[in-house]
Amino acid sequence: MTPMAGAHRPVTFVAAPYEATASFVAGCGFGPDAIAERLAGLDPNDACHAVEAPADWTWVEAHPRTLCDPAAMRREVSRHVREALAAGRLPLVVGGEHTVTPAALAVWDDAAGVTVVQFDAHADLRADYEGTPWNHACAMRRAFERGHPLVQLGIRSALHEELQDVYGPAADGSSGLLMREATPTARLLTRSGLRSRGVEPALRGLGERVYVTIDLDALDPSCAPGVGTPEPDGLSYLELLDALDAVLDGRTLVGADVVELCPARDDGRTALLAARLLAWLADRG
Amino acid sequence: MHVGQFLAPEPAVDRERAWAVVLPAPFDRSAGGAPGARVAPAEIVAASTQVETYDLELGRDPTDRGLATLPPLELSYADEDEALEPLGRALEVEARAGRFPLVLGGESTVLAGTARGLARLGDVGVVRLEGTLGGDDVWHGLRAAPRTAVRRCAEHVPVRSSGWRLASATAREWATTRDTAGPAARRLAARPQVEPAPADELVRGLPEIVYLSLDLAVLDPAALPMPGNLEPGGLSYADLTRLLDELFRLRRVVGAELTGLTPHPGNVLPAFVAARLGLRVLALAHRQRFPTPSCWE
Repeated sequence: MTPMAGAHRPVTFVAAPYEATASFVAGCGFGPDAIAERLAGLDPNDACHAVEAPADWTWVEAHPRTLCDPAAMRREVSRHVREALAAGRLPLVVGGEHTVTPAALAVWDDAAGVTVVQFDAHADLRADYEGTPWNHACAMRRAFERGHPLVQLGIRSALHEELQDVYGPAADGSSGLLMREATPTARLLTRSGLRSRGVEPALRGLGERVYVTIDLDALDPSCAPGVGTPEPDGLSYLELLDALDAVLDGRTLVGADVVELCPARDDGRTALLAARLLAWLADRG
Repeated sequence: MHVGQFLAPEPAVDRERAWAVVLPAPFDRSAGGAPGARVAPAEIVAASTQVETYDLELGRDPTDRGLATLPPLELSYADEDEALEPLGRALEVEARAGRFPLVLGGESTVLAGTARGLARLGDVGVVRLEGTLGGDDVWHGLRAAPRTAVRRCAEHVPVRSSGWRLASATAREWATTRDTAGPAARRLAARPQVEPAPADELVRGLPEIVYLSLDLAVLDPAALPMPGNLEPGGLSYADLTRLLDELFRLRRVVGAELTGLTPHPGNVLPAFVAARLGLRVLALAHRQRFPTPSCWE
């Protein structure tokens, strides 16, 4: 692989340090700052993946960290993502909590034409949580309601009712793979399903345009400890890159986000990993 | 100390309407690695409120037929292992009432107490998973300590200890001659996913009815980074959950204990791991007791 040297789309990193509904350990509002520091200092000698920081990139702050109003956050994140797209740049949103994802997705009017591929420990399909539909536990439900086809990978925590809402009353997590054929379509591979079946069953029929959202708790806490709600038995970094390779093989990345870094729980590993993922996504854009 | 309700079931039920009960046993006297187990039940329950009650991999919600958490037991710190008798009595009461007891330790010494209750239930064996074999006779003058827990247990009920990576020469000799030493961690860890988990080796020689004694230190420090769990070569989370799945297929499991959490300020992961394992054990017991999830009925 050749390190990217400006041959790809220029990138706009949209920092969205939104933190209003973190369930357990607070601090993901400091995520963008920690990632920015790592991104600026990425060692270019990544011999395994030949990925370094993109040659043409800008960093914009969508809103101040103190902003906790969901409507204002959505408006500001959407505006910056829209401006990036209008300028021919790839928008990569840097959270902040997962609630920023539906704010970014709101700029695509043709929701049915943009598949959302989610890496996460949690399904995030709740209709509402703790009194609000704009909780980070509801992010994918909002995307689904907009009409985006969903592909959920590596999930290992969900409420049965939220699965039934999207995948039907017979939804059974023990099958490892949940499928919804009605529009919008949805696929969910559990962690063990991903381990035993590989990613391909969830990608059959996947559309050509893809938005990727990575909640860092998709990864195993041994490689990404800096998250607010750690869950055991996550993906390794290399498993995640392999799955991303499969997702983007022959498809177009229209945008992406990396969310839920909690620097207070991190020793630097998770922030660096997040920066590498963003550089990797920029390379594929 | 008030600890709340494990998994925060809604609606909360009292023990008479529950199929399973959680028994907090904050015993913390003689852990070899680090103290702190006295607050472990409270930490595990707090983390469990952030864990979904539905076990996605098993398709089971152990709260759907009633789950109750009892007030923490008050246990004496006296050296005699009779000090843990209240735990044995509480376990016996719940098991006789047909409820599945899940004990939340506390250090792994609590096995010396649960074994006393199990002995009164009849022909029950103990499947022990721990980072330490536990077969010493005394530890720093104490008859009841994590390093002696299996020895004390064996005085009441048959036990087989597996997954260990620490064992004194005398403990190994004692356990080997009695066939109490099951496979060490190296035999159980990092097995290829295509091989069946060797759970049959955990139950060799034990009765058809068993009790699970699961200490968190059976996990590798990569999976469970906490004070007192620094020895390399432990099981991964996936290794352990595959073993548990097979165990519940091989034997009827009447109850379980989850021990050995040593909380450390600022590190919530071990409590989350413990809470997830508690959910998994309850979901496996639920699968064993009820042919179908309640949502299909």
